[in-house]
Amino acid sequence: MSSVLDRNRHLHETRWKWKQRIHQSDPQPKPTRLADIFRENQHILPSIALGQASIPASAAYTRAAEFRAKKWLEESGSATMGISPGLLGFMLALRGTDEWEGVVVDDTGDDYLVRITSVPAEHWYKPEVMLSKQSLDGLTNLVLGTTIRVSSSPRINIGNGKLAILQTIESKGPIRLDEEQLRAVEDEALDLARKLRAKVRKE
Amino acid sequence: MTGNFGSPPLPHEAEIAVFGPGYGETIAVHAGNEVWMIVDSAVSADTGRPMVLDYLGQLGVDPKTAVRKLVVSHWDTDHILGLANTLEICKSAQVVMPSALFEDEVVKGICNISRGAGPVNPASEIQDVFAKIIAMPDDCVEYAVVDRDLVLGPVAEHVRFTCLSPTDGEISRCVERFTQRNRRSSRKRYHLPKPSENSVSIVLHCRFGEHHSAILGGDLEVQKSSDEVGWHCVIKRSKAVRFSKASCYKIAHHGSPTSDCDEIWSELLTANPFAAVTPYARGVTPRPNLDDIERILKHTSLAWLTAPPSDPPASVPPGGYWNLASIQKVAVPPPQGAVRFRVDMTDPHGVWRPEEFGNAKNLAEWLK
Repeated sequence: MSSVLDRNRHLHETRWKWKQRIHQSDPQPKPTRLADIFRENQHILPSIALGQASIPASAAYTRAAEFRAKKWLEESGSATMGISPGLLGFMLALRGTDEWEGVVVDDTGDDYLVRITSVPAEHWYKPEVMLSKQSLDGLTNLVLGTTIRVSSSPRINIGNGKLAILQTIESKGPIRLDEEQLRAVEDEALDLARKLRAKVRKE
Repeated sequence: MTGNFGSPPLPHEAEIAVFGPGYGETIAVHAGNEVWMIVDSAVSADTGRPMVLDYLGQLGVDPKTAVRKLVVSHWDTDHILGLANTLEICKSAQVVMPSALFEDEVVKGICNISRGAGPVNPASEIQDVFAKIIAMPDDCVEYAVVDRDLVLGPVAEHVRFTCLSPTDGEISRCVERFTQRNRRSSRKRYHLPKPSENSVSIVLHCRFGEHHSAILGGDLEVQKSSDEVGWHCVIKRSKAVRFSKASCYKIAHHGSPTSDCDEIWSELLTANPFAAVTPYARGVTPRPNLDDIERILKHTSLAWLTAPPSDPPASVPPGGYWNLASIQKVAVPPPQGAVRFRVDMTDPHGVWRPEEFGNAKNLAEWLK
């Protein structure tokens, strides 16, 4: 088990170095600091870029979100979560249909709980949301319990007037389908199943 | 993962190489004469590529021509991510899967789910695999049902890979579960129904010549209530068909006790068999835990774990929110490793030669 301990120790040391560097060398970090740190440390904190190649990096991080989501599942009966571009980012979960919560970690290493309310109907089905690098400027101004209102454009108004830009990772269409859409999906699926079965080796 | 994997196996050598965890586990099997089979898929945290393809590349094996079978044991996320990529590259491979995956209700369920699925969701991966299969030539898919022998190609006599699971009954029950799910009004569920108790998981008996054989256990679980499903069904069938006992075993379901029973070790395996298990870190209870390790070691001292067992996850802190430290703890890609077993198929007295790569160690080492 020593390697697990070594890994944890390495993480603690790394975090400590970050904090030292940020606070000692530059007590007022520039807005781009978070992106720089993130980029410099990708070897241990890989970016969660999109696509299959990124999945291993996100897997462990997903765990944290999963536990939150499971908790909410027990409470509300439905929940899902989205994943940030990396450790220093945004963990988002969807509770019910109209309230999102997440953790933002800023470039001093502190984390904040963030609530997003008033999600418009056309956005609620997009659980995978990530903060783009352009949005990092706004993060240092978040405070615990900041309420974020989502407008219909992909921008988030962070309480104090700063803007963070949200970028949808994958929009796969609304999850709530009407009857006609459902029938279309199912017809498509039946056609697909038929084509797939045609590929099976004959006895 | 990368490593010095040495040279490829000789034409008369059998090989079973177990990799994990990337995102899940995957197995490369050499059936002799440069015929390879891949079971499941796991993506490397280092390269983002399917781990087995990295491995074959480092051995100098061309997966385009050498891989004849790609087995999809079941559709849990930790067994199928990267499958579409693998299929894209292994041009001459036939896909072996439970027939349930092509049933109308199952495909309907997958299409519905993948509409709302996030990037880490098996439904999306399966849809990608479906798209690849549609573009492949006819006869590219083979259903796995109990007692079916896989057609491997130019292998030596007495090399035979046989499905021990799933049964038709298990497949029917799986389809019924999808049917029920599709009838529900709620469409905002993002995850595939688990293959209940993993009862449709493919288990393979791999016979390498007259003297050596192995069992790849998938994620099949033990159903105490019935001997018509799960491991008890496999054991019952093996008694009827009289398979040779295997001297090598890919331990099922990451060493979970739900996939283990004494009869597996006594009826299907030789005494003190060679065994490999991969860790699973994403659940509430990481596997194998210390109890699992001790239980496995009671059956064999020749068991290897491909990477360190994970710490149990931190409990949700007071207030219900994670802090940075707890997130950091889980944010590092898990260490990876591989265990490889090789044996000379023609040698009646030959034994499997285990080799460790990356973070793999003998299971007993983790108790120290």
